[in-house]
Amino acid sequence: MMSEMGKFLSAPEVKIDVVIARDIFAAHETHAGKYSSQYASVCARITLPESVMEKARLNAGDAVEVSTGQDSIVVTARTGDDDVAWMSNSPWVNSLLKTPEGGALPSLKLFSAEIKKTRESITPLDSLFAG
Amino acid sequence: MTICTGCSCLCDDAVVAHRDGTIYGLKNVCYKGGGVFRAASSEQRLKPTVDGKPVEFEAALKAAAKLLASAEHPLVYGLDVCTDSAQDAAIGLAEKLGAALDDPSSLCQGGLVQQILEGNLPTCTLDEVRDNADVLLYWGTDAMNAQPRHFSRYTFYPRGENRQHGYSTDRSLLVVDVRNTDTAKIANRFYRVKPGGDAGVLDAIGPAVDGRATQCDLSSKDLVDLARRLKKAEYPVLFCGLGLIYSLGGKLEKLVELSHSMDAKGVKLRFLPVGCNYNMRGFNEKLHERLGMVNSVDFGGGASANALQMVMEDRVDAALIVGSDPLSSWPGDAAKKLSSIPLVTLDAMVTPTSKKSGVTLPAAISGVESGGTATRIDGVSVTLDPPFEKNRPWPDDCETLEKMKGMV
Repeated sequence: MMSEMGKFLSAPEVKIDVVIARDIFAAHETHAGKYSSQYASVCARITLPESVMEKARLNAGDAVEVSTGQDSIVVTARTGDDDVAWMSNSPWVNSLLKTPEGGALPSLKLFSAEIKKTRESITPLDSLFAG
Repeated sequence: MTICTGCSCLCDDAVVAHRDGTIYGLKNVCYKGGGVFRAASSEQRLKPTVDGKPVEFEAALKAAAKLLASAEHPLVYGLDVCTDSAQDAAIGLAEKLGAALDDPSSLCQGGLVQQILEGNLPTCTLDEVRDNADVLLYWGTDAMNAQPRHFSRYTFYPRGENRQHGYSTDRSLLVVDVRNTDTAKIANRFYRVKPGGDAGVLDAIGPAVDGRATQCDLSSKDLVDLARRLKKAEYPVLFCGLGLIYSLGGKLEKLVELSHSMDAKGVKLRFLPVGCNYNMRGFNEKLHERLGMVNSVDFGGGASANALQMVMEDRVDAALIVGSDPLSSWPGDAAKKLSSIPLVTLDAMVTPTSKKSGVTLPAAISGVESGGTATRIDGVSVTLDPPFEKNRPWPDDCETLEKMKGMV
């Protein structure tokens, strides 16, 4: 009954900090070629603490919109075993970052975002560079 | 044995079993390195193109030379996955073009390498780590994912000349990180800091060694434990990851201060970077020897700035990208801006950057299809031994860059 009712409620937005990290599976696919479904599957994803998954009403494998306010992407959500959200270093996550003025080192390891369950498809690689 | 060019460990014990150009077995290669060998038979190999249309290699080379020669102030960028000779050729080309020249180290470990090359931070080789190190402090790096054989080949697990028991009793692995990473999970001690808390912990270590616990992001108990382990160490090594570098905002004086502070207490702490492309250090050393800078030079006479800044401030009007994919690795606004200027890409693989390039030039995969020398992350020179040199499909980077230099 509850899950039936849930269908009519909009998915909650949850504010989180996301760490950008290295991942061996993403590194393998980066070397082997970026235009493959394997590359997208290991790079276009976010690993979330169980508490955040629950709060955002997400199940593993759901599509989730990650938004910084100015830019957003759609990636797959999965549950991690830590209480820190993270994404693998990839064009998906880097497309959300901004260059600081004056030549300072950009923050390529951490950013704040809002996440929300979505029915949209995973953002295709080439569309990250459109416009 | 083959040298793996998957990362700056440059592991020299890879065994590649192949027949008729097809790999049927890899030994002593991590999953990350395996991707480099898999690339050789990939369908995503780059082809010569001009304006998206397939052309002969020589035609693409001519178009590339013309595009770069007609630019007022081009950028030459990348080069960390190229051999020493290709880097030399690119530096010569940039000089001839009056171009800006930079590599990805300006956004990661370049500052640390500069401090090491200038003698501000004591260092050692990975072989010396294997033979002597008893305390391994990994800070802001998940080496299990970034440089997967770091532990088994050089630092934690192996027995060394003066560490005959290896990890079982002779070494301890300490990790400082914001996440409970795969590396933290195998550590003897994991000290968790909050994002941005690293500088405070660095400041607090010195006083803690003297028995004074000051306020920082670690609990007093953890801080005292970390300081005690460092104080007791005979040969401690601090492996600095990108998490630490970014947390410090690239301001590495904190590391120099820590080094001095520990030195005054009789603890010689050595520093090594972790997590770089296979020949980043080679590029840094070449430029440093010549110009006193490890990256971000402008042969056009302008003020030095990193490539990101050059692009964002409209200071370059074309770019040659060699073995790199800045569209994937730069912040979104800079990637979009870079894709709006004329680009030439010289690479082995199709990438988002090559797709936005007016001219693409394919290259052999260095270390797999072409040889040369490279500099390991600890400064040791290594000679590559490519298994597929005889059947390489395209010229190597060096050959192409030398030809281009002759044409501009």
